[in-house]
Amino acid sequence: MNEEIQVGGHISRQFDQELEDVRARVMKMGGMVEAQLDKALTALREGDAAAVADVEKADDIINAMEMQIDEECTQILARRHPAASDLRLVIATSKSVRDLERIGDEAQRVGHLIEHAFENDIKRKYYKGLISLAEQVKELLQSTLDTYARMETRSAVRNIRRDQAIDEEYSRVLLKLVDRMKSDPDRILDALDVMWAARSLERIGDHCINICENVIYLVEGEDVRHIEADSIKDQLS
Amino acid sequence: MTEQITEATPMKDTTRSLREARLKKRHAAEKRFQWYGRLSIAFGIACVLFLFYDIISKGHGAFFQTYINMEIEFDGEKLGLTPDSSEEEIRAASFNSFFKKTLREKYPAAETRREKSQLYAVFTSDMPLILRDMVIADPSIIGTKQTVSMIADDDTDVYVKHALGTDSDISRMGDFQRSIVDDLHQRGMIEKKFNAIFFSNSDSREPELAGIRGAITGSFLTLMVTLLMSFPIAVATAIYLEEFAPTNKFTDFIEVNINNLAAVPSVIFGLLGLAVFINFFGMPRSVPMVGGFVLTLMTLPTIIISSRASIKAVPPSIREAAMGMGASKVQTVIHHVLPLAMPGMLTGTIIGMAQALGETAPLLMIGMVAFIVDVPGSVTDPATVLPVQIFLWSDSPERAFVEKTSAAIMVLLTFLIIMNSTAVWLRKRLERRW
Amino acid sequence: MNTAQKTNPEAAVEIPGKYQTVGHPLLDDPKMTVRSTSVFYAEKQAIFDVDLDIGKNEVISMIGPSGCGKSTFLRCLNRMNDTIDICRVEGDLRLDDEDIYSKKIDVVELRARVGMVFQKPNPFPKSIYENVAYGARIHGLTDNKVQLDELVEKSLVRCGLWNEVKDRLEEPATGLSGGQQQRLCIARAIAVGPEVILMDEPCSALDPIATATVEELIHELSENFTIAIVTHSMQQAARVSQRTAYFHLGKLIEVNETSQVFTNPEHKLTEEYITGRIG
Repeated sequence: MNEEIQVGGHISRQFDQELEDVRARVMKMGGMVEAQLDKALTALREGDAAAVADVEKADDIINAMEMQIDEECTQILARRHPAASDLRLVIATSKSVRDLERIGDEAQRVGHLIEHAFENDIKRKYYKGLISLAEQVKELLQSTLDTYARMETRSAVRNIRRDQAIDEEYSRVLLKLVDRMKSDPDRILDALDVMWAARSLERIGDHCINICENVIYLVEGEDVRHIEADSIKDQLS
Repeated sequence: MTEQITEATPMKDTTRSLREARLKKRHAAEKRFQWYGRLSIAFGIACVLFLFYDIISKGHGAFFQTYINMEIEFDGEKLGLTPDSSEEEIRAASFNSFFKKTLREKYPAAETRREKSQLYAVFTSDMPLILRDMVIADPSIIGTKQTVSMIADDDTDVYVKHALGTDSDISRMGDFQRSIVDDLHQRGMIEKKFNAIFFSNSDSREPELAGIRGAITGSFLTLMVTLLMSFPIAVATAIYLEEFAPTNKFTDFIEVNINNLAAVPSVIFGLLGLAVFINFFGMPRSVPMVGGFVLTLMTLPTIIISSRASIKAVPPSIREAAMGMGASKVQTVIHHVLPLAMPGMLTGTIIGMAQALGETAPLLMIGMVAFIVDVPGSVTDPATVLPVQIFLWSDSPERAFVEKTSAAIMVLLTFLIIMNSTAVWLRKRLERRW
Repeated sequence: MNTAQKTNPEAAVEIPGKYQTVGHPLLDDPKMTVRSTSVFYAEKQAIFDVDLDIGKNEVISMIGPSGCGKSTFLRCLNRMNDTIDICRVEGDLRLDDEDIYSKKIDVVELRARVGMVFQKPNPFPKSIYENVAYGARIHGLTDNKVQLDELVEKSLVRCGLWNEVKDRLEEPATGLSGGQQQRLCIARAIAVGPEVILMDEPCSALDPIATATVEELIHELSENFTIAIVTHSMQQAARVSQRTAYFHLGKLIEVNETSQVFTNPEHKLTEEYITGRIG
């Protein structure tokens, strides 16, 4: 029934404005997080650490935004006593912001690792697998932000499915890296950098899934955490 | 856009100046209105003060009566009595001639028949009877000298009160009579005392013997009948109409008629009483019972209307509370509504009673205007009431009755004021906040 | 025209024939059952064909915009609507499977079994003691003064008012504070031993602290009584009740567990009302 969540339309137009503000800020924060990941991806593609030079600064801004959005959510809870979809919107937003911040952290870490690896003159073959993983993760993140913006269950479920592919890709990258470590023990440290980066990318995927689950909770009022991706559909119907 | 903004500032200024100009007018109008109110109140107070001044200045004299202290020898020979004489013998004795003889002895100057009668007329014509009653009360005074405080005739009274020592010809006294009064005055025998007669006697042809006791008793009995009839009927009607009656055209019709009845001239109720109670039911004329019935008809609408208003003023929350507890409709009304409405009902009743107390016209219609000397003992004895007494006296030619009229008005007003202040006090006292 | 695109809240419930109440209006072992109940004020219909069960010892709250009929509905449950001449109730209302509108039921007895607390605290302008004792007196619940004293004390203790008023039982009840007055009204209602207590916006005239005390009392009473409460405060409904019924224009739109209604209502109208989009 609640296929579409309405944010506006309150008798109090100020309340509409406050909710809209929070959402807009979340979208902006999402954009910044996406840019962080994009920088890492660019660095990987171009084999040049220049792109990830200012991840540090951006992360500070993202952290500040998380705190600000959280504060706004607290204010809305305290002053508006939201109920039903409004309540779910605030709760879901508050949780999603936390995930976004984590994604930002992970993206920053990926940046650092890439920087470190490039300083050690890592060979492209080591991190080649990482590029496609990063691309998939970036697509997932984009799609997740879209899902949040449109508050849509269907794409959320699709995203959760997509994470399985990312997990598989991650396993493949790991296996390859283990092979390399075995064959070239001198470069184990490089391999470890790449492994950590892959791990972070995989974590970003997980955080995206959390956000999608939050969106499903927001739209459907159902908590779909800790449920197998395939059975979510059944749960919702 | 910019034009609007530049225009907005001067606009503000003009509206402000317009508003200020208007404000002065408004203040002036308010002041003026307050003054209209003050003037009306001042006019009202002036009228009341004038009324009171007029009545009190005319009527205060009636509360005092002129007495002549004279030594009278109850000579057994003249009376033909001894201290042992029985009551019948005393009654048979001619006190009239004894009294006249005594007076003639005191004032031998009265020679002509005219002068003699003027001499007797100094005193009230009932004087021989009063002397007889004294002797009956105490036969031992026969053969002794007693100083008797004798009631002066109304003409003497008026002369003593208003014309003594002046040349004004205010009383109807002859010259001889006047000289006697002057003489009595010089000898210090004339005394003004509180007029107990006014309160203890009923109506009389003689102003100096006329009192309001009969009228007050008549009023009291009439009001009792009115109260006993109208209060239960009015309260029952009000409760039924407010609490139980369905709202339909019939009850609307009744309501309209009750309000109309309150506006019907009271004399109509008198005619109704005459037609129904006296002609149809054959009740006696001039009795407080019929008067009470007529006044009941007249006060019913007043009490019903005020009772309904006070029942309406009981907040519905109290009724809901009682009903919600499982009280029945009657229990709700008796336990909760009635106690809360009672002060208002009583106030309305007292005001209705005060109205009834002052009513004359309907009572004239049922014959309560008769000249009645006896104090009524029950509601079926012929009686008159205070306002009717005032009406009767105001019509009498004797100058002394003018005084009595005003005095009776003062008594009536006193009762009305007491009743109305009781109403106010009751309201203040019993009115509970909820 | 964009009106065509907008969802019309009334159109949503005006299903031809009987409209459907969403959620779970019916229960297995109810205290009161209401079936196909409609209420009319003269020609105007105020309640449309309501089916609802009220469970044993539950607190059910009724919410909805002003004029939605929730108070009217509440007053059907102890026939307080009887006092309004033009009001007509149709349908089947039962208390413990007894038809409360049947001729056999004495309305006085019914109101002793289904007590009521009103919006404005309305103690009788009598002493505190008399207020509580009144019901026992008219229903003849006690034989002597000692029993009556006990009953008054017990009722006041249950409402947490005893310690506050025990030294001034003979003082007028109108001298109490608003919250105390309302608790006194509840004590008065429970003194006659009702099975169900109806509360018609019991806290709307009270300050937040007094409201909290009354809400706490409602919670305690729910152990022994079935309570139906009408409230304008959605937060209050959320706080005190186990189930919530949402009324809209005389129709019972949704009945569900309170926890669900306030996080994820089933019906769009409920959603709009509790999120402050209609009202």
